[in-house]
Amino acid sequence: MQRRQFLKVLSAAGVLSSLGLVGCALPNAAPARQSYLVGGGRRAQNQYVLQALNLDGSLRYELPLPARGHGMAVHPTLPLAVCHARRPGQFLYLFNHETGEALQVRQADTGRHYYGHGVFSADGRTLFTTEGVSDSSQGVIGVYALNSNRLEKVAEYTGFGIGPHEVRLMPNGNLVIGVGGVHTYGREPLNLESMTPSLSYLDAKNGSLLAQASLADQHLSIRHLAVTADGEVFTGQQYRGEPDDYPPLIARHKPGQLLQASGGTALTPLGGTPLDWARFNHYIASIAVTDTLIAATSPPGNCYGLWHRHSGELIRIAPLPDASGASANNGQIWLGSGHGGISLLDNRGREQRLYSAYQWDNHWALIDA
Amino acid sequence: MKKSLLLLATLGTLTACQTQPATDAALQTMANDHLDFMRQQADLLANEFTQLQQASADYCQQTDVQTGQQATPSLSIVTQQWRSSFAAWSAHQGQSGGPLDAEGLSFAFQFWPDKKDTVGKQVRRELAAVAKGDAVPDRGVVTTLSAVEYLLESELSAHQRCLLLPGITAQLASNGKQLQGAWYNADGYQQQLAQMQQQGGATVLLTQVLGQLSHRYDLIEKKFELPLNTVQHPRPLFAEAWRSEQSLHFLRTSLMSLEQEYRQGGMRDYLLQNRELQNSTPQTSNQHQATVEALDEAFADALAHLPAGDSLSYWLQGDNYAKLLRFKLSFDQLGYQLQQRLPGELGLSLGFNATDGD
Repeated sequence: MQRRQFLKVLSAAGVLSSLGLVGCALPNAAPARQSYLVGGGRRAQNQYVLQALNLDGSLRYELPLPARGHGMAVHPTLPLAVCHARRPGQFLYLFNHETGEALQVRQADTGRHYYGHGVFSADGRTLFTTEGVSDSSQGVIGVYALNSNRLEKVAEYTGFGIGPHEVRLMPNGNLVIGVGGVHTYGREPLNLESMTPSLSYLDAKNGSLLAQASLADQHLSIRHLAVTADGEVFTGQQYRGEPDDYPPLIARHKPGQLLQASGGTALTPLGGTPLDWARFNHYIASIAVTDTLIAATSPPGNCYGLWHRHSGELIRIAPLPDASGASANNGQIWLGSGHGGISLLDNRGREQRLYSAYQWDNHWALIDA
Repeated sequence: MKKSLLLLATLGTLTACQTQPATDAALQTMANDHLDFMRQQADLLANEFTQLQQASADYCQQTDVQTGQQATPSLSIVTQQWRSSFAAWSAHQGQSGGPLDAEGLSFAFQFWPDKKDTVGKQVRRELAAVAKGDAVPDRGVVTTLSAVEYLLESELSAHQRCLLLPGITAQLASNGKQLQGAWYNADGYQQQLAQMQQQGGATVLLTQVLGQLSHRYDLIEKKFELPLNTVQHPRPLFAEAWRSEQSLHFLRTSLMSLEQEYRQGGMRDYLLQNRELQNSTPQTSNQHQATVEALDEAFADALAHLPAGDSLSYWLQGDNYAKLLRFKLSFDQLGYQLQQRLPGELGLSLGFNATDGD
């Protein structure tokens, strides 16, 4: 069947119109209800933006950013999201992700910087962000109350380690943090020989440290996370050790596993040989998990990897130049790229590749309108 | 079924509604040249591997494996063929995100860096295993050019060499043909280039072609800087062919093939053709011309300052080190022209996410 015929069949069946997918939206003429991707991007002359791309390929909106953005935190019920500045970042950018209306640019507190990620609480009243004490890189979770479309810092949680990166919400409402362990001056690492990364769990109500897990290799900086509905945590690492060592870069922690186990047994690596892991060039950027698949991107590896969700067995590593964001939704996984490539993986891992003129930063979110 | 319809409807519409940039003749020519050039390099590599396989087979057939007495062709012919195979491979080193990766061949031809001597350890293990009757492995670090180098340069008997040499070189030849096939596959990279141009336009296609040059530059930089390290602590065992003392030679072949790819793989001609575009302002034209001249000069200067000879370790010793530092100045200038000035002029951001972990 030719594509035209196929679309005709879909159209006749009412599939396209029911999805709001008939026709091509013009830039800045956003349909009221349509799924879209939101994330950081770049324009000419190093102008950084927040951009939203409708799934028909049209640009929904773009907002200029004060500097380069990084992670997105999407509100659970309201059409709000926060773009976090790239580390060492100086702003949180609160906006209406449906309309592209800018609501607040909150500057970092004196002596603090943002690490690039945050997450809303399940009730949407609180935003938790990863921050650091600028002089020491001591980790801080900034706690912000959301009132009338404004974020106001109400508390800080500390005492879990140096250099936190991504924070996610556990199904029970607590926090899990990828603590990189790296003290930096600007972006320059200062303590690679003594770095102590960890996966830390915090009580979201009071910040008390509930548990910590670590990997055997202390040069594996735990950075990016994905959490499943049943509370399994996947961690993506950056390796800061010898250039000819290729340890596994993704690990999983299942609910009920003992934490703080000696020898790092609490975190189980996904499958792959050292040569497979070498493809990722020592770095994982984003992880997305569905009921059947795990996908992870590596910009310096110019690739993404795909694993079976339950067995952890590697399915394939596929090229995707400057691979970046990863989002899972309805069994599908959307992968972005700083070179404009967009890959959609179905629930069996089959890929369809598209290209757009928009460059995507490390992370994005799929808004399922 | 519902999910399939959702997926296809979304994708079909997304594809259909992507901005369709007008066909740009200069862009099309660049894409064609890029593909043609890489296909030529893949042809060359496949041919070299076939010859290496043949030379190895001849060596092992004409060597009395009991006495080690050799008839011609001798081991030196295999060594010479290994050297030219490695030179052909150096035109592919650093390719990232293309057919080499898509075929899972990223580490099929070379395992490097290898300061811990992983190749040596595994080849010794396999020599023992094959001597006991195990089959020659068909993948991993023991089927690479690095492993062949070990067999050729280590103190081994012809009998020992020939336990692995025919099998490894046959696997290299097979992998070379697989890579060649991938470059010629019309549904693979060729189709992706067309998609990039049609759906993403000039920015995406230029980023891809220039990005490949940039990846290759990065790999050459790594080949140079890992052993260079510091004057107090050079690291000769990080050189890619320290056993045969050919690392400087392969640095040279890498650099020369990078220039060849820049000149013949579409980018240089694109910059020159682009001057002729109707919408190019005289200022832009002059800018491109100046950049082309600067790049030509940077390539020539880098090659002129690369020290003579084949051995990198020789230049890592004592006062010789200064020559490498002088080369570094020229090489860094080439990097600036290729990775900063040119992309800036074209409005591109190379390695937007790849250049720094976050």
